[in-house]
Amino acid sequence: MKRLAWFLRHIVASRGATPAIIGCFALIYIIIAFYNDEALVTLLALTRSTPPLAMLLACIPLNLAARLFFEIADFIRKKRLTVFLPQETWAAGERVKLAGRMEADLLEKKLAGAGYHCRHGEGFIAAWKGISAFPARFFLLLGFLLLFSGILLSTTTRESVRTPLIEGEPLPEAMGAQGRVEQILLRDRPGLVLARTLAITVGFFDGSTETTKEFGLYPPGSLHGVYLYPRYLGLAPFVEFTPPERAFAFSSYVTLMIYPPGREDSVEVPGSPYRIAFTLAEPRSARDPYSSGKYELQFRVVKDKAAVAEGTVPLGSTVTRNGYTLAFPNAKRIVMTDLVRDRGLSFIWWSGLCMLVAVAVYMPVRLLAPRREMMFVAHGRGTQAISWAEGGKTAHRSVFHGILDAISRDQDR
Amino acid sequence: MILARGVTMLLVWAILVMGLARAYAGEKAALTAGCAAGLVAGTIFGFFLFAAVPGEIPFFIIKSALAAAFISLFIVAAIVWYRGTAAEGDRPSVRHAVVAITVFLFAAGYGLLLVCRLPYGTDNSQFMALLLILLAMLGLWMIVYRLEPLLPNIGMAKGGTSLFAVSLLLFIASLSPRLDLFSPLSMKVMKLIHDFVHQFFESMLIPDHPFFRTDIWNYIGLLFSNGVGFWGGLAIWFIPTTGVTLATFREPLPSVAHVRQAAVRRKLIAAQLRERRRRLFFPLFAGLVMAAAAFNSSHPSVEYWDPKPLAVKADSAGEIVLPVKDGDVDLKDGKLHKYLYQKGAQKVRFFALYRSGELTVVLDACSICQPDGYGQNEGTVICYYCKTLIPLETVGKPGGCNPIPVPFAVDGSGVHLSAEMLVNTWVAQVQSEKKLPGGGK
Repeated sequence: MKRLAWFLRHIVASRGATPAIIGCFALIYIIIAFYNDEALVTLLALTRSTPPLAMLLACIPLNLAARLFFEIADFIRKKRLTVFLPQETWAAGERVKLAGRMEADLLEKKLAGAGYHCRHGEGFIAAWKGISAFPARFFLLLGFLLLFSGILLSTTTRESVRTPLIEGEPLPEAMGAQGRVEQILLRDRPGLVLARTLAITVGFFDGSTETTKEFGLYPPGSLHGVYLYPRYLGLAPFVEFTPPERAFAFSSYVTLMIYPPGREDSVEVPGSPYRIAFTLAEPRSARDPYSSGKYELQFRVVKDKAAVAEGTVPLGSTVTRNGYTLAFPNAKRIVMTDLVRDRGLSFIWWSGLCMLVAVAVYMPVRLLAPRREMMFVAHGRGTQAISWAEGGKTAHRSVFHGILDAISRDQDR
Repeated sequence: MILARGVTMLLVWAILVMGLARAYAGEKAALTAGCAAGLVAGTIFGFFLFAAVPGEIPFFIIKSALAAAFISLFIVAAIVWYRGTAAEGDRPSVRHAVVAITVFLFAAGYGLLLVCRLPYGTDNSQFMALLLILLAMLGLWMIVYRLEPLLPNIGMAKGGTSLFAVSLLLFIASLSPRLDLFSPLSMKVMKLIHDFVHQFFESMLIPDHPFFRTDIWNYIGLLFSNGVGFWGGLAIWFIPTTGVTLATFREPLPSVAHVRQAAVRRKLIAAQLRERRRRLFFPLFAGLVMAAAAFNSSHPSVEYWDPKPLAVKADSAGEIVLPVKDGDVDLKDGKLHKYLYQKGAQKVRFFALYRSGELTVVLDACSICQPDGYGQNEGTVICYYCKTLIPLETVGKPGGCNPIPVPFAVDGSGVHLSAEMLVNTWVAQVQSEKKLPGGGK
């Protein structure tokens, strides 16, 4: 049992374990980077597919959880003594043995005079000043624990499917629900970070009742644990193309990734030598065409390798060039979407919050009232004095030495 | 030129030996034997390597060994940081064999780099190596047995010896673009930051640029800007030096609480602070050497063939045709030929190159760096942005800092390219044109 406790304390909760494991991953990254240009993606894929690597990654949250547990236990145990004086920081502080016994009342008076709170018990006097940074450390450790748990879950269990959501079309099967994309609306509404909002309204049919749900940009909406992550926008114009050889006439909705304006996409006319390249024209007004719904398509008809016609056709119009007619009566908006199932995401969000709290707590405590402690313990015929400080060390050391000098003088008298 | 190289190498050797002599002051015999044997062994191995293995492979082997030495500095810095520091002199004396092996490795590394700096393949390279070794041996004896007692009494910080020696080796490597580590490091860092931002956006399901406020996006764009690879690389370059320096600086002072006279306490603390400051010398010196190496790397003293791009136009079908031979221009002359195609405001630079018996056409940009373009030197093209050398035989292959290949066809009339493909490839893949982290659509 003792061995188990020792193992847990010194190996599982070791300070060096997390940096060592991160170092291992850094080394693997460097080795991959020597031979592969997509080192990060490869490392993530390797971690996902290699159980020993996933287990190594899992050791980080395990180590952080163990450290959090032992540090809380230490804190509670030492809180009972009023002073904390963690064992491992003694080396950074000072310890000294004095020949004589201390006079408790006198010592307490001197410490109180230096602004320290005192408490004395059977054979010891403890003195302290300031606030411990432990709460900040607690939130920091918790933040890292959540972060690495999130990374572990996300790396090993994330599933993602890319699929287009098209206005008026049924939801893709991967959503795991039956419904229809009612409307896709892009609005210019500048916020703190985002300049626009995107509302994807989905209608669900459940027997006799019909409900709607709106999915936004951030935080992404979710349905049955699946996040709907909008990637980029597109357009599905209804195109009617009539070349001089009428046998090759074509009319259909075509899916084009031509947003933002200027990006080119093309469609092959089935069973013909024709290819039509489309670009969304720059808007004439300040409003984005995707928001306003006023689209103008620039097109170029290519037969074999030669351009045979080109022009611009606004929504609801028909244009004829060199005997080629192109009509654009209607268009549907498209949002290319990743449907993501990721159990680690919320952990990572919470970790960010914890780390913010840790910084918010640590900075004022460390700057304004760092924890400084002293302890005088009767030790045989002498006294053992211990001093430790999280900040303001020089002043604290000076007080400590002064008190020791005073004790020494009192004993000499 | 050769003389300057020789003098530089001897100067670096003298500094290396002085530092080692300071670190192992009580181990003169082991130090001398280790240094001499290492220098000779490293030089012989270097000549053997270049004679036995063809092409770029010896440089790759030596560069990998240097990279391993550089990575080992991180481990040294981590150990020093976690265990705290103490003057090396305070530790129990090191065994002779350990000293000899340590200095042997450093001197062997120096010997290998010495061979790389010699004009290998010329008749007098072996004679020059012999001359330099003799001078280095003379310098070794002078420094260890005559100069060492005159050197100032500077303690070596824990981890300082390896930091000092490896930084000098990295400095020598920075003098040759083929061995330089800083430029490839910058490039890898840039790629890492690029990939990390992309992965972070994807993992956190953060929407892409069309939805962002322009000012916020411009701040994010700083992560893909010109300096990020350089500054990121510089930060990593100095981590070991900074780590050891800070660890030495924050080394706890021995307790003076047992001393009852305040004046004596102050004197003791002042002496300890002085001693600690002295131990900072070698880590700080290593930092300076690393800075010089980074500077060398960013300002290579080599001239590159970089012709002015010729403007080309597409025909009505959107095809660009480059004649194989047109007046003074001969695409098969083995030099890179740059072209500029412009459609509206969009400019695309690309070049054609005849190598390994066939033509290739690539963009004058890679998918990682800012599109500063490429220049050609013997056997390689260099990315001007990150200074990475690309062997000619790999131009036309995708990936890393290689120029982005473009589909093309060759017939009797010349090289045929699709203008649309050219523009789309540039817009989608070249760093400055990417609007999304990771270059999504």
